Amino acid sequence: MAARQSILGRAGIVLALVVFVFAATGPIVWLLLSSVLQQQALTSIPPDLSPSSFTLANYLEVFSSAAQLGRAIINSLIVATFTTALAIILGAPAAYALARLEIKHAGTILLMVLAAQMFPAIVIAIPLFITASKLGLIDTKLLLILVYLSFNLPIVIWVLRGFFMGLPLGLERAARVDGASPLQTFLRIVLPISLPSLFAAAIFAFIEAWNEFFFALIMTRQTAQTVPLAISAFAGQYQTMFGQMMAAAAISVAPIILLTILLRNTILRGFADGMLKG
Amino acid sequence: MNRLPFIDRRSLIKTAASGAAAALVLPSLSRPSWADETALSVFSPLPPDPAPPGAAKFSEEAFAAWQKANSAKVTYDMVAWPQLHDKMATAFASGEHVWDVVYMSGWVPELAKFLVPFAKNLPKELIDDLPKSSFSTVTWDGQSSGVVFTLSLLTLFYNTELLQKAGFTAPPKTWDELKNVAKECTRDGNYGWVLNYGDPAGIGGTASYWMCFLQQAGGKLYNEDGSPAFNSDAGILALQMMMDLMPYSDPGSISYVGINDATNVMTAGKAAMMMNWPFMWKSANDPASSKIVGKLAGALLPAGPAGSASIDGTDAWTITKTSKNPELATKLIEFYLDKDVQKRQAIDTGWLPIRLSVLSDPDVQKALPNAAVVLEQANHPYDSYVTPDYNEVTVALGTEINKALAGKSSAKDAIAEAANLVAAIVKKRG
Repeated sequence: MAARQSILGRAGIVLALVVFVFAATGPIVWLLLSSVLQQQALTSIPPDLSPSSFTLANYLEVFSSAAQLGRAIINSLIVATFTTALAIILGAPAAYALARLEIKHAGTILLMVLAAQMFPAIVIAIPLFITASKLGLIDTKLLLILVYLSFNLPIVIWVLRGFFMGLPLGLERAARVDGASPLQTFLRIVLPISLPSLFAAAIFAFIEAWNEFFFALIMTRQTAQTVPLAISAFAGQYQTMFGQMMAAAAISVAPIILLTILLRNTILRGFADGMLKG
Repeated sequence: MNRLPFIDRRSLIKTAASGAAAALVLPSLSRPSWADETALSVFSPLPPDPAPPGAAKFSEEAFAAWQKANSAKVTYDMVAWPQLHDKMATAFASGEHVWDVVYMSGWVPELAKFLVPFAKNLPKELIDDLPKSSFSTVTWDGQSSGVVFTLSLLTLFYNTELLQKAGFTAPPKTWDELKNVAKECTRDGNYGWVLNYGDPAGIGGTASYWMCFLQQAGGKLYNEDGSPAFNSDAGILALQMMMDLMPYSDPGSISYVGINDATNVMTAGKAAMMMNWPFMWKSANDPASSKIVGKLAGALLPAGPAGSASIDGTDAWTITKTSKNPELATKLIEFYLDKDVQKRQAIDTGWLPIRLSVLSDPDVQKALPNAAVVLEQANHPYDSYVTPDYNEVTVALGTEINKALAGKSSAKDAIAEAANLVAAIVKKRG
């Protein structure tokens, strides 16, 4: 009886995992599949998946008119990398200070950091556009970096603060006993053991910056366009080039997927630490 | 534990130097926002939506020659059509100079205060060659701030093969015939009708389709004083007609957001009829994207009690008030409307010309057999009823219409509720 229950339990777990894997990978599989299907096959009802419908023409089309996508990928890489680096460089000390130092009104500061996140994008779009325009920053990567930093920094601070609070105090006390200042303790003791969380926060900031659409649309023209804008170009009012759009999307998500696969263990460990101990 | 090294002055200086270096590098990522050498900047949708020469592939040599002759350098800022309105509304609201020439689609009344009423300055020969009614959607408060560059009216498109299979040799000419043909064509997994009712707003949204039926029923949207006039027999009849088509419509119609969703059903050979814009002709006859090549035909929208009627896509060029070169911008728009450019626009891109002389050009009619149908449709009413609050009005109207089409309310109740909502919006106009 117990053995039967155990088999049933295992079967249930396996089934749930299979469903989860399908749900998680389904969109990616469909993305890749539709990127190698002809437009006519994709718009057929149901989609025509016969061998003759498969083609690499979508990728060839995207590559042949790749000036825009190529530039957009480079722009996105620069913007996302700088945003991430700055968010970590500025966010980690702030998070540590809020977690460990005796700061007056630390709770209020934390809430204000979070509140900055709560303004709908449309509310700040026009004032931001005017300021950026006066500074001559419209259609520049620097502007996107600054804008993305403004909404990535609070998240990084919150995630890392949670992690820092969970660190054993003994380590830091030992460093102090050895004469280390708070800054030295942070740089020499805390940061090295916080790498998983730093990676997790960095990946999160990178993905956010890579995928952002609204401000990229409003604040850029042709020079600083990023990947989401380049992909949206395949959807018009009267016609959407689904295959080419999916091919462009497949190309553009590749760096993110690669990065996530390479750092998956670090990311998981970092997020678990940051979230649970906060 | 070893003694931790202190951060000394030297390391602090090193850190500061690194920061300064980064500060020097970062500005190199930026560049001046609008290049000074740009004489004219044009905001346009990306092709294959209607785009000008140099942006779309037509009249490129003529465009280069025009720039040379006018010592002008034209740069295009293009985004996908669905993003046009938000981007331009933000830029206009900022008060900053962004573009000289801007594409509009029914947004002229909403954005008129940012535009130059330049249409009166166009040459008489050009104005005389444009349909008079084409100015109605780009005119607000008596000022014409735009000029339409493609005749884009909704007409009926039908699949000749599906109609023949159902025993019809000609397209429906009246509402009753339309219902009958739709009913008979709904068989073997195919549907008689398809359209996109998922997005209530804007031209090409649910409310705008109902406006065709409203005019066909002899109704109008507003009274002379601007108050809603559609809570009438004609308004209810128009919605009832749309509801009567629902049993024979592709079930996705209620949720399709864009016309491209509905077009895909049609080009997949799964629907017999739809109303669509002229551009459909070219894409439906492209073997790469269509299964109905050679099977598509066009006709006037079936007549209701008051006859046939349509709405205007209102694809227009405008000039911004912040433009430093409005005269040159006017010249550029005149170039876009040049007869030869208009002809190439039609033949090379599928977007019909707006000039009547080019519409009746044999080469254009040969390349685009639907041109004659659209021209004939233009002889019937095609008011799109655009106002500064058009988006708000169409959201209110379209949402109620969608509810009725989904069977959640009667035509009478939906129109009455929509009239209340629109009356409240109109009141705010002052």
